[in-house]
Amino acid sequence: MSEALNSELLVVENLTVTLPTTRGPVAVVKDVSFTVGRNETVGIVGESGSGKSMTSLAVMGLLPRGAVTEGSVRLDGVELLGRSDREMRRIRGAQAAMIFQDPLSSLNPYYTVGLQIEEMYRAHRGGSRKEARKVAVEALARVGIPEPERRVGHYPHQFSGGQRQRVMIAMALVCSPALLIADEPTTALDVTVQAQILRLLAELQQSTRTGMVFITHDLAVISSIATRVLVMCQGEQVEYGTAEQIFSAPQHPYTRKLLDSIPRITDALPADEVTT
Amino acid sequence: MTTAFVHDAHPGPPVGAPGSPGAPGVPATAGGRILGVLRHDRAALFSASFIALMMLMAICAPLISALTGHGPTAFDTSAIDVDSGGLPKGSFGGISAEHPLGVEPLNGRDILARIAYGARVSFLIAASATVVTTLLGVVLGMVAGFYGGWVDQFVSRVMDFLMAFPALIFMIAILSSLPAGNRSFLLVAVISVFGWPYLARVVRGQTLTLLNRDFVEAARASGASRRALVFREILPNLRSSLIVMTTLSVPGYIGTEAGLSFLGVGVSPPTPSWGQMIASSVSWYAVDPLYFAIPGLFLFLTVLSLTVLGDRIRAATDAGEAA
Amino acid sequence: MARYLAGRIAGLVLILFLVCLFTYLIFFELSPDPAVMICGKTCTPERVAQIRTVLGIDKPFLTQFGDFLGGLFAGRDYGTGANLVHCPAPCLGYSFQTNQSVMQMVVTRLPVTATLAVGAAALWLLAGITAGLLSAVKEGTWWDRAAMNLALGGASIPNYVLALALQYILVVKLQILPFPSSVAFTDDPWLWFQSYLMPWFVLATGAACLYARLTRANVIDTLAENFFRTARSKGLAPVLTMRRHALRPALTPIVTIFGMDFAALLGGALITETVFGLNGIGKMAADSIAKNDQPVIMAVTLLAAFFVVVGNVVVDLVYTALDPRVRIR
Repeated sequence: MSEALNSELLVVENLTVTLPTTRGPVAVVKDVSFTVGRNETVGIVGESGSGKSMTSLAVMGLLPRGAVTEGSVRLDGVELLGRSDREMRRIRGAQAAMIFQDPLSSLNPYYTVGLQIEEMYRAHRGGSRKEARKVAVEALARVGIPEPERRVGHYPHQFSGGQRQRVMIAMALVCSPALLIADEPTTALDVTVQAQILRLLAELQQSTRTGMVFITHDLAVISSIATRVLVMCQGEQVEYGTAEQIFSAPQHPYTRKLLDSIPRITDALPADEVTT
Repeated sequence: MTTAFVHDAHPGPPVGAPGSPGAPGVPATAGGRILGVLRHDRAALFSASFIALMMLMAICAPLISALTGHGPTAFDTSAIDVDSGGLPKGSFGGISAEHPLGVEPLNGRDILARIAYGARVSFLIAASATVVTTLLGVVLGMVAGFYGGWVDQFVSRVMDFLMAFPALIFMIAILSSLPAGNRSFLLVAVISVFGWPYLARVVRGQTLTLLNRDFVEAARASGASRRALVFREILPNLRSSLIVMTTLSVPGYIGTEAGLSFLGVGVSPPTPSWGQMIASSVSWYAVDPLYFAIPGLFLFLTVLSLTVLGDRIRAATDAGEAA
Repeated sequence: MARYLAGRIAGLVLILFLVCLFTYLIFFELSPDPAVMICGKTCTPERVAQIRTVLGIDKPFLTQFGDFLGGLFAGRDYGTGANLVHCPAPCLGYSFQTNQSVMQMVVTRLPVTATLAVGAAALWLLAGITAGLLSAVKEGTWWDRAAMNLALGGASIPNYVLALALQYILVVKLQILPFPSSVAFTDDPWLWFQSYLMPWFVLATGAACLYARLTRANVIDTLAENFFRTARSKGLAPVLTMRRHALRPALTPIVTIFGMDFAALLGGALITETVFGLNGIGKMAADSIAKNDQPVIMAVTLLAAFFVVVGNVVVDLVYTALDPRVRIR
């Protein structure tokens, strides 16, 4: 038991999330279980509306008003479900941090990126503004923002899309959380930038030994980064296993369909051109 | 571990806001959808009924006069107590079977008749002003947005100029210096001149956005004429915001008309108007409060009903667009 | 920045010039001859002509308008010889009715209107934003519904109806407040305060209701923003989360609307001042219109337009300071 506690960072057991709607309660996550080890990346794959984002919001305690959760979510052996917002605030950001899909709308346009990193650091670690500013500059440098001393005073709209996502990553990691949840972090970015962000996330995850939940609709992205994969469809857990298992021997037809939808070079060419 | 936890401790967007896509039994057209939503809204129903009642009263004003036997300008000195300085006889402003809403102090004119005839003035002026401002606003706003360039510059500067004008002061000044003439016509003209820019500004902005939409560009690329672009692509898409803006402008104009009449530059006596009745009640309200309260209440309830209706229509169209 | 400002000020001057020209033109063309009105019933044509000369309205339109503009910027002289009166710039002329300097009238009455505007604005901002905020945070509860319905009602009461109803209830019936009077603050601070209470309330009611609805809508939109979700995911204190990530973005657009409303109010609250008998710019406007006192009408129109146009520029400048995304080219 103690061994399990040591190796497993996040344990999600039989998680069910029900949202109230105008047409009665709807279960958006049904009986989902998975674990994330320390220094491990687990991918959650599914189409939009499959419940993958709701799963991550349930872990963070950020579900919409009126949502009902059942099951168990343990971070470092501590149960998270049913905690008050006050208790969850100490966990959010400090032990579990999150980055989102669209970095432009996810950063507050009215404040400099420096302040947005500093406020997170100071909320959990305290300290003066000056210390926090130093930490923010270091955080920006770590994610590869050039001239971090100058850029720390800039507003989100003054950054490019890829840089904004780097800022989001810097912010999420500023308190060295044990768990990082990345919700479609590359979907809103250009293809060339996507690869850079993926590499950065993988590097940082290795160097900081952070457990990571990587949510995406794109199996191709998962293959390069995750050790274990959870496939979700319409709120249900369709398949769960190591990345090799999923990619080499998918059990469920839905997984096979997802795998087939990964574009290959040959798909792009008309059939006669391939044969001739 | 099967305990269920309800998340409610924090602020956040509630889920399942009205207008979820594909709600069953909702008609597809904008007008039908709005009506469908309004049918289930008690406040909107009350408001619509009250407005219908007021319009009925305005239309049937001569009938009401015939039934009670009192015209809007007929003096009834028998209802006035000369000894008390001209106050209506009896309590509550002279309310009796003869005069259901009482009489005016001093001359004994029947308040019900004056309210009914006053409603004619209010509704007629507000409706005409709405039609004129909507026409001006849509045409000029669309022209500015559609043609751009110097046309846009010109129309926009005229709008800036009119909106910088202290409209109320100016309306009063113009109306007071103009010769009597047809006051209702003048009121409509003055209200419309200062009213259209607020509508035109919105129409211009929306036209500009629509022109950059894919479907308009597609129509343009496929060689649609300007007339077709305007009438088939742009105008239909402005419809819901026009419905909202016009419904919300009617109570504004009713208030403006009453305000101008209150300040003594509206319709000229003896033609009754609600604002004018309120103005003449000022010197009496300490001794005959109902003389003030009745037209005040009619004015308030009419403006409120129209505002509520406009507000609910906007909510319905917003929800419709989100779906 | 300097170029931008210069452009804005040029546009501002142009609009004010056009407002002057239009007002002057309309009164020159439309209104009855003030000389005849002043002269009264027992009047000879010679006497009318004499009055017209004294008032300076015997000259052609453009000359008159030129004189008016000249007086505004350089001052002007009225009359001749021993009767010569110099009116220093900015000269708005003399009232046809009382022969007072119009500039002097404006200066003495502006404080009343400003007091009215500041008090009402403070009241409606406080009430409107607080109610809107509470409604947004408690969206869908009975409080939200009650407050928003009340706001619709409050926005629908014509201000003179509200003014008269309040005066009837508080002054005549319950006798809690005295009739408003134009007492100076230094003479009787308590009476001064009581006199302004009802006017403040009446002016604030409509605006407070609109601001409550606006604040509610803006805050609800902001709470649904992605950056608000980010802020919550960071584990910040609730007060900080609300202040930085909900209030600042939600209330910044309200600054624009507030600036315009406040500027319009400085031009005179015509109806409220008239109903409560406060000697501000608005009452001056109403009185001058009733008596066809053209120099005063010109002055109040110009003053109101001036506040609106200047308010517009100030609001734009403040907005560029408040929203980092807006930058002046």
